[in-house]
Amino acid sequence: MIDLTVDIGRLRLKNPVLTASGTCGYGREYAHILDLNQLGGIMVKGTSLVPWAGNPAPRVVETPAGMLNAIGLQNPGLDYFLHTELPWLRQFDTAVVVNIAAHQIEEYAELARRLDNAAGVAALEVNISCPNVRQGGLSFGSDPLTAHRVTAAVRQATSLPVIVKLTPNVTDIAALARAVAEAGADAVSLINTLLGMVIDVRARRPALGNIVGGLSGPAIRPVAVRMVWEVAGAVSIPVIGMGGITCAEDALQFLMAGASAVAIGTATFANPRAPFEVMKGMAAFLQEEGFTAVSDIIGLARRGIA
Amino acid sequence: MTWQQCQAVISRRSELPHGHILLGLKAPPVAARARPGQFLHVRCGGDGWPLLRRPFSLAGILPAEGEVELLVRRVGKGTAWLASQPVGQVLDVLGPLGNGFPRPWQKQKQGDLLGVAGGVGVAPLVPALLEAARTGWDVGLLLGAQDAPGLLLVERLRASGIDVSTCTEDGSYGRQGLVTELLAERLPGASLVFACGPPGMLRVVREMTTAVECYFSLEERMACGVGACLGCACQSGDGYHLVCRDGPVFSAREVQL
Repeated sequence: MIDLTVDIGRLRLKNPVLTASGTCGYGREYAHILDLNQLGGIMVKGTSLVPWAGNPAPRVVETPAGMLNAIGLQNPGLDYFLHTELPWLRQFDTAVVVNIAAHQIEEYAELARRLDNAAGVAALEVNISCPNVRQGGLSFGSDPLTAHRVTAAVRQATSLPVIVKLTPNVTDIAALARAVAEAGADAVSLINTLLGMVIDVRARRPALGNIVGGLSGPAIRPVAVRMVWEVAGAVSIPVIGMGGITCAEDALQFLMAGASAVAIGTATFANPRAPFEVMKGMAAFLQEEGFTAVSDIIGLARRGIA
Repeated sequence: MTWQQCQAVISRRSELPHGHILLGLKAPPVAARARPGQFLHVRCGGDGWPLLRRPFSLAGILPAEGEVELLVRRVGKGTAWLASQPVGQVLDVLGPLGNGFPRPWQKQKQGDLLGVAGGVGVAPLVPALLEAARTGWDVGLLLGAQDAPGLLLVERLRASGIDVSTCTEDGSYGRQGLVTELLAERLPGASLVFACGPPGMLRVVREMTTAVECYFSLEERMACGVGACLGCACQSGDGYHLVCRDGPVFSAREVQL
């Protein structure tokens, strides 16, 4: 029996596989074919204080080994989440990580305060990195000082574990990670999508209604692994790695680079059982390679290097 | 109600003009539950590429045979792959997905259903038209295309008792002109209109059908197909609807085009 439990600071996960925010909704769409009880956790759709309408269509376009999206954080708002989605999620034995999104620091703090006492919430993931919302996302996550302020405000407003999700659209992601760690983050998650663009040459226009969007999928995986490697070497808080994971071997790369857990995102769209298959495949790998606990491989590729 | 992930085996395939292909898929769980207007989300490509699935309207629902049909137009890598697969090929599909058309013929003995389609837009209408005709409704289809070969599935529909009127933009078959010109003549008497085609066509259909119930089957780029990613938005009065989950069938007055 392989011990799959991992600790993300004070948050214990039954296994290191989560679903990435924005790719699994609030769990309902896939719950009938993907047993959420089998997962380490679900990182729910980015949720704001009031409902957000999102961006005009087209919102997605496929790219080589990936896709661009510009959903614009469409979500039904915190009240709806608390009254409708969270009670439903409580039936599952899995960690519910609530991704919070906001346009102002005070809104992040308010979200954190109101979720603090909500039964069934295991942790918060602070979205300071979504590139789609012009008024906020990008600026919070791309400047260490601002990222520090957001993290500190959320930290003060809640006793829940605070995970800060980092954007890759920066020169030095390790500096961002250090800033949020110093501000009291319990963990960081990375990477969010890489800012990109596609032009439809027949239409002579950008392919996305929002003009630019976030690139995800296998195309970004090597970038994500490199950034997890850098951040894991720069901070002592745990790292949750994500970016283009489709199978167990992909996920193992992140763990060996220093991530304590991983999240599956875009792969779920093509294969709804991908998170479950990653978890099973990871256990099989550990068994084959003679490990008894998944925690034994965290940072394994760093030995003798960093 | 709920969709499944299952295997579908290509049971037959026929080449149609302009690079279209009609695929028969053996998929009993889908065929047993599918309703007219729903769609399948198909993994295209054996080695994981292209990454995303491709959505296809059900162009045929045959529960007794455990089969459904897809009308595939080769437009890119995914559809080209699918169109080149042989009989016997196993596909990974999600479905049936989406809401489907309303089916007033289940309650009302008589009615007059008029389908309006442009090109490959005929696909989602076929099962609805056939089902309504089987229950005794008067059913007509107005089909427009660029040219004569682009008028897909006409013979099959006529053989099933559907009154099909056609027009082509180049005048090579049927009347020369746009399908909406046919609609102007045929609309009186229709109690229900179903339409699928390019946005320009749908906008005109909507303007013409203010006095009759009208539903559109819409198309949009999709990632998940099941309502999780919120990628296939279409604007409505009060925000956005999702084509995959809230549609693909919408009341003509409910969405902006």
